[in-house]
Amino acid sequence: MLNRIRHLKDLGVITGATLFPSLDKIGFHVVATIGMETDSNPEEITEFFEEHTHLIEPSTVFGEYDFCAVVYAEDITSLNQKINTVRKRFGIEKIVVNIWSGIPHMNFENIDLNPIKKR
Amino acid sequence: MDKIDYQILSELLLDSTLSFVKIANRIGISPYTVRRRYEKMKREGIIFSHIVSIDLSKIGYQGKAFLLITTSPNGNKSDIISLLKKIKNIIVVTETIGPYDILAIAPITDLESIQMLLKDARKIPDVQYIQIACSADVNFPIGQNFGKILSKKATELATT
Repeated sequence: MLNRIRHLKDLGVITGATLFPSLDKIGFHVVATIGMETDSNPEEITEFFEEHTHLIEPSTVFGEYDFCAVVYAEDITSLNQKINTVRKRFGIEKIVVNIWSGIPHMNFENIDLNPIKKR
Repeated sequence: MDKIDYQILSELLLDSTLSFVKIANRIGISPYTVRRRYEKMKREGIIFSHIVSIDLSKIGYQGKAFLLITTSPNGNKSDIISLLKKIKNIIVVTETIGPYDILAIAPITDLESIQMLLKDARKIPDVQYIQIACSADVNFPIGQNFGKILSKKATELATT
C-alpha cells in the first residue's frame, strides 16, 4: 500500500494531502462563485487574485464567462471589497456573484478514477 | 477553539500526513495533546475529512465543469441536490443565492463527458435551465492553493 502511494506520488498523480475543515471555524463565513466577462489577460487576473485576495480557485473558462473563481471571504463586506478590488483593477463591467447558501455537499468519492478505460 | 487548535489545524492543512509527533515538535507541545485536540476537532465537526490532492490530468481529465442550475419556482432544491449527487463525477453541489439556484462541479474528460453530464442533469425533475462554464483547472478536489490559503488563515487566527 505504502509503495503504491509512493509510486503515485512519484508519478505526480498524488500531489499532496490536506484536511477539509469547517470553513466557518477557519473564519471564512462566506463562499461564493463569481463569473466575469473580461478582455484582460487571464494569467494576470489569476496572479492578482492569488496575491490580493483569498480566492482559492480562480480559472479561465469557456462558456458563459471568461473567468470564474470560487471565493472564500470572511463576510459579505469582505466579499464585496474583494470583488470591487478586482473590478477596479481590471475595469470589469460585469461580474456575476452566486453566494453559496447552506453547507455545500462534498461528494469527493463520487469521482471516476479511471475515466478513459471505461469508455 | 484556541491558539493551539489553530496551530495544529494550520500544520495539518499544509500536510495532513504529518505525524502527531512532528506537529508536537513544531508547536512545542506533547504528542498526546496534539492527538487529544485533533480528536476533539474531529468529534466537533471542525475537521470533516482528510483529502488526497490529485492531478486530474494524470488520470485522463482535462478540466472541470461548473453547472449553474436554475430550478422551477416550486421545485424542491433538496431533492434536486440529492439526485445531482448521484450523477457520476459530481463532486460538489451547493445551493446558491444569486442568478442561479444550484451550483454543481464535476471533472470532465472531453466534450462527450460534458454532454453526458448535461444529459443526466437535465433529466432531473424541476431542473429548468443549466448554464455551463468549463475551466482547465485539473486540481482535485479544490484548487492547488486550497490547503496553503486555509493554513495561512488558521495561522492568522492563532496569532490574534
